[in-house]
Amino acid sequence: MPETDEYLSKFSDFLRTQQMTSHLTHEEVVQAHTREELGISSLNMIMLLMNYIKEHANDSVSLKPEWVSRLNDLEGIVSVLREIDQLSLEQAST
Amino acid sequence: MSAPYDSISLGPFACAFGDLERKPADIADFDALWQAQSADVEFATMGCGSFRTMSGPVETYVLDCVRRLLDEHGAPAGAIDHVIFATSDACLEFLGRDFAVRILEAADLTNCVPTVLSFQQCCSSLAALRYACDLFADEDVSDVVVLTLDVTPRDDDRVRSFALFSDAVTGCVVSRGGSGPLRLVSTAVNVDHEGLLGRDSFLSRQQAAQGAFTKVFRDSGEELAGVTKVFPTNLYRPVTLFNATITGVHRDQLHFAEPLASYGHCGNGDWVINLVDYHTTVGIRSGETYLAQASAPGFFACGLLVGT
Repeated sequence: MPETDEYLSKFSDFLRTQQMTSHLTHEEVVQAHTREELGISSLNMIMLLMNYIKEHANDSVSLKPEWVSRLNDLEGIVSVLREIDQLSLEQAST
Repeated sequence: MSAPYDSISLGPFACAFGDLERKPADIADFDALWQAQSADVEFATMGCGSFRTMSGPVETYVLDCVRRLLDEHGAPAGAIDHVIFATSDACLEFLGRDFAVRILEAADLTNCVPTVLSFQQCCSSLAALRYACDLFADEDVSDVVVLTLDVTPRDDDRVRSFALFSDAVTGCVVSRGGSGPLRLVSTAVNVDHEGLLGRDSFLSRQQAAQGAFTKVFRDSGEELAGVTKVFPTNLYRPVTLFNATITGVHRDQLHFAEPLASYGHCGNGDWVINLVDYHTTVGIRSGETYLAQASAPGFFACGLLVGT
């Protein structure tokens, strides 16, 4: 499975653990291109990102200003999650 | 924009909160109101445990704040040259046409020019601070009082998606050659036109904030990373953290959690309340830099301050 698809799948799994997006199916997520198509508001996107950092990066990763422009489409969101995981791994190994 | 404010000090500061301390659950149909504003997002994450309501007219709290400022400043009311009221757009209708005259008379401000500064929502107070400092271009001006006031008369208007609105008046004395703990270096306010129209995005908010930061640090010799503390607007905790970090502010630089927990969002007064809380618990230090910051739909403002 290509890395992007793998992360989309991980994002899809994560969405189902969150109260605000638990109703979304995997099919709906992989077919969507933007968070608007999934009904994810900007406030909910903020909450999802903060919760992801808390749960997957031990709340140790700070948001980067350059991530903001990527939070509207799923490809960008997935790339941000990948960076969060990488930063978390780097911090854990130092 | 920078200006030569070296001889102008900020302080003392004072806060007059609404006298009724209430819990969010005291608001009728609170859960329904919250869900209507912020579906599927837990209120518990807000970080706000109580808020304040004024049981009397706002004038009472304005006078309390002015008296406390003058007592601590050690100046008679007649020495105040200007008083500037900063308030959100929605509050203008509650003040009434004789508001300034009533305050001047009751506070015995007999030689004082009143001004109201608004239309910039919660960012009006930083514009007022800048306006106050600019008044010192007149060599006869020695003491100016800046007051922020924000009141929400109807409980169901208090509950918003990003904030729980509270009632408070805050203020500070701006004086020539005074002994206040801070001086102003520069201020900036940026407009986010899409935000004014309710169409703001992550990007438009970030651009408004970064543009203001660029202006406020330009020519100051300071940089954001060197700022000791940032005093932001007290919004929904995750949103406050998000808004700060996407502009390069580190979460450890923020000071807002305790005041947010006790007082909610007090409009234009938030940065003053956070600053006062920090000064009381930690202390403003000479030579260190601080950033007062305000954000609202359509606006972002900041003011760079340095300890005297």
